[in-house]
Amino acid sequence: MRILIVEDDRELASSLKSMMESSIGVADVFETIEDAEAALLAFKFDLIIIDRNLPDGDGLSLLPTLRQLRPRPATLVLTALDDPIDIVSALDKGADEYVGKPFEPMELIARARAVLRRYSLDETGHTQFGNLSFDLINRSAMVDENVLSLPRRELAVLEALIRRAGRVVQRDNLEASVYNIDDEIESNVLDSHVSRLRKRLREANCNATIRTIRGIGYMLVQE
Amino acid sequence: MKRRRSIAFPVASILILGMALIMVISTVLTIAGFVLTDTQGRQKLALESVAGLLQKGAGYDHEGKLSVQVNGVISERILGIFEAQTDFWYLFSDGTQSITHGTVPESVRSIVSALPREVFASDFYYTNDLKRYLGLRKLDQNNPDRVVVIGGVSLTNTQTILLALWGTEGLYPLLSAVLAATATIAVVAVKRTIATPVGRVVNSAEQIDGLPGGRRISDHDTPIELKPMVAAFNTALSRIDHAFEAQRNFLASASHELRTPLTKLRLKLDLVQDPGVRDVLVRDTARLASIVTTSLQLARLSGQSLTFAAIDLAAMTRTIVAEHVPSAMKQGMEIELKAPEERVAISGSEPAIRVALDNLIVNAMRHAQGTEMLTVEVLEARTVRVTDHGPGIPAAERENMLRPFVRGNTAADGTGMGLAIVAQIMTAHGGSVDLADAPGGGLVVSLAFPSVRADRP
Repeated sequence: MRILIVEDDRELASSLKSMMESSIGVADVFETIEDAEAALLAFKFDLIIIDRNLPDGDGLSLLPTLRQLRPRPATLVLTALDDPIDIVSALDKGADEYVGKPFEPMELIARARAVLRRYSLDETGHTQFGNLSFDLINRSAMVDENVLSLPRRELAVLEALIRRAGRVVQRDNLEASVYNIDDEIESNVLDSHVSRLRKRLREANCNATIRTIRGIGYMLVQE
Repeated sequence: MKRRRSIAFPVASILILGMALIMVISTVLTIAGFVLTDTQGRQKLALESVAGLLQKGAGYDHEGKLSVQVNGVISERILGIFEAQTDFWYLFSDGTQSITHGTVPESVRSIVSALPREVFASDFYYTNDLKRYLGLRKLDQNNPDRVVVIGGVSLTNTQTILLALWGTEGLYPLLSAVLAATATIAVVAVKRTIATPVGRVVNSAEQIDGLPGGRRISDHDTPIELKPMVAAFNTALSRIDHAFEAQRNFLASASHELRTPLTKLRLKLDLVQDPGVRDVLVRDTARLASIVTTSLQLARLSGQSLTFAAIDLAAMTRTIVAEHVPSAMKQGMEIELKAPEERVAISGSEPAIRVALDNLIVNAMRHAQGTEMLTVEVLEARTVRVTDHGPGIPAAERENMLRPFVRGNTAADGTGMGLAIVAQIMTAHGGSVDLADAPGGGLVVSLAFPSVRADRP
C-alpha cells in the first residue's frame, strides 16, 4: 500500500507518516496542493490523507484531480473544521471519509483501513476483513484458505456489511442492497438470512462476526 | 414621554393649513365684494342673516310656549350686535303665538298682515322718527305659518362684513364644514396612502431569513420616497452578511488553530512511556478537545439564526445513533434504539439537532461509563429520550446543568457545556429539555419538539 499525506504542519505530517508506515504502508508527505497534484500524476497511490487548510488553499480542491485518476485512490480528509456543513461538503465533493481533529491514532488507522477496504473492493473486486476475504468478481467468500459457499442473498448481505465493516449498516440500506424493488420482503426474512450467515461464519472459525444493533441494523465486527 | 411621530400628522396639517389659507382668501374676496355692493344690498344681506338665525332658533319650551333660543357663540354674538341697536325690533309668529323684541312700528304691523302667504320674502322701507329704515318679512320655507318680520337696523360696515362671514348663510360656516371634512379625509386617507407602501416594505423585510447572502428587500413597486430607506436597509443587510462571514471565518480559523496543535499533542502522548501518566494526559487532551468543540458549537449557534426544514426525527436519530455505536462498543456499551417505523415529522434545523443529539449521546456515554446499556427512544409525540444507567444527576443540580460551564460529574472528562448547548438548541426550536431519574437508577434526558406549524415550513 502506498499512501500520500498532504499536510503542511511538519510535526503532524511526520507523526502521520510514522503512524501509517507502522500500520498500513509506505507514506509520502507533501506540503502543498500543487506538489501533491504533481505527485499524484507521477505515481500511483492507494490512499490519500488530505488536510483542509493548506498554504495554497483548501485541500478539497484536490478532489476533482483525484476523480480523474484511474485507479482512483481512496480519500480520507482530515478536518479541523467541524461545522456539519464543512463535513457534508467534503463528502459531497467525493471524499470517502473524514476524520475530525484531534483524533485518536487508532481511530485514524481504523478509518483508513475501512476506506481502503471499500476502495479495494471497488477497484479490484477483492477485500479482506480479519481472516475473512471477499471476492466480488467470483462472488465468493473465504475464511483463511477455506471457501465459504454462500447462497446469493447471504453473499449480498455479506458484501453490504463488509463494505461498511466496523460501522452500522441500517436495516433499510441492507434490505435495499439485498432485494430488488419487486421482491416481496417479509418482515423477518432479512433476520433469518443474517442469522444463517452468522452461523456459517462461526462454523468456519471466522474472526469476523455480525452484531445486531437493536432498532438500527447490523454491523460486521472483528472479535 | 416619548412622542409618537407620524408622517400622516404633518401631511394632514399642511392640508388643513391650505384650507385655512383658502378661508383667508375668501374673507378678502368677501370684503372686496362688499365694497362693490350698494348700501341697500348690504342692509338686506344683514337682515336676511338675522332672520335666518331667528327662524333656526325658533322652538317651543316645555309648556308649549313659542320661544327663540339662539345657540352657538357666534350666532349669539351676531344677535347681540343687533339687539344692542336701540331701534332694532323683530316679530316672530307661528300663526297662533308670537314673540316680539323692541318696538314694532305700527305702520309695519299692517303691512305684514296684509301680505299674502304666497310671498315668501319681501323687503320694504319705512320711516320712524323721520329716519328711513329697511324692513324684511320672511316666511319659513318649510313651515309658512312661521313668519319673521325684522327691522330698525342701521349697521356699521364692519358689522355687516362680520355678518356676511359668520351668519347662517355666511361664508365661514360653509368653509368650516369643508375644513372639517378635509381634515377627516386627510387623517384617514393620508394615513392609508402612506401605510400601504410602507406595509409592503415591512412585509418583504419580514420574509428575510438570517442566512448569509440571504434575501434583500425588493424595491420593485416601492414609491420613490421609500427607495432610499429600502436601499439603506439592504446596505445594512449586506454589512450584517459581511460580519456574519467574518465570524464564520474566525470560527473556522480558530477551530483550525486550536485543533492542529491538539492533534500533535495527542499524537506525541503515545511516546510517553509511563502508561499511568499517558492515560491521564490523553484524557486531559480529550477534555480540551471537547471544550474546543463545544465552545465553537456554542459560538456558532449563537451567531446565526437557524434555517428550518421538515425533518423525520426517527430517521435522523437512527442515523446519528448508528454513528455512535462503534465507539460505544469500544467502551463495552450497547446502544439500543426504539423508534417507530413511520415518520416522526418535526420542523427544525438538521445541523443543530444533530449537534444536540451528538452531545446528548456523547454525554450519556461519558457519564455512564462502565454500564452496559444506553437506550435512545423516539416517541411519536416528537420526543427523543436518552436513558443511561450511570450515577444520574441530583434533582437540585438539574436546572444548573442546562447552563454553560456547569459540570455534573467531575470525574468524567465532560466539558460541562454539552447540556447547555442542547438546551440552547431546543429553545431555538421552541422545544424543551427535561432531566429526570431513570427507573432503576441513571438519567433520562428528554427533548420535546413542538408540533409542526404552518408558518414554519
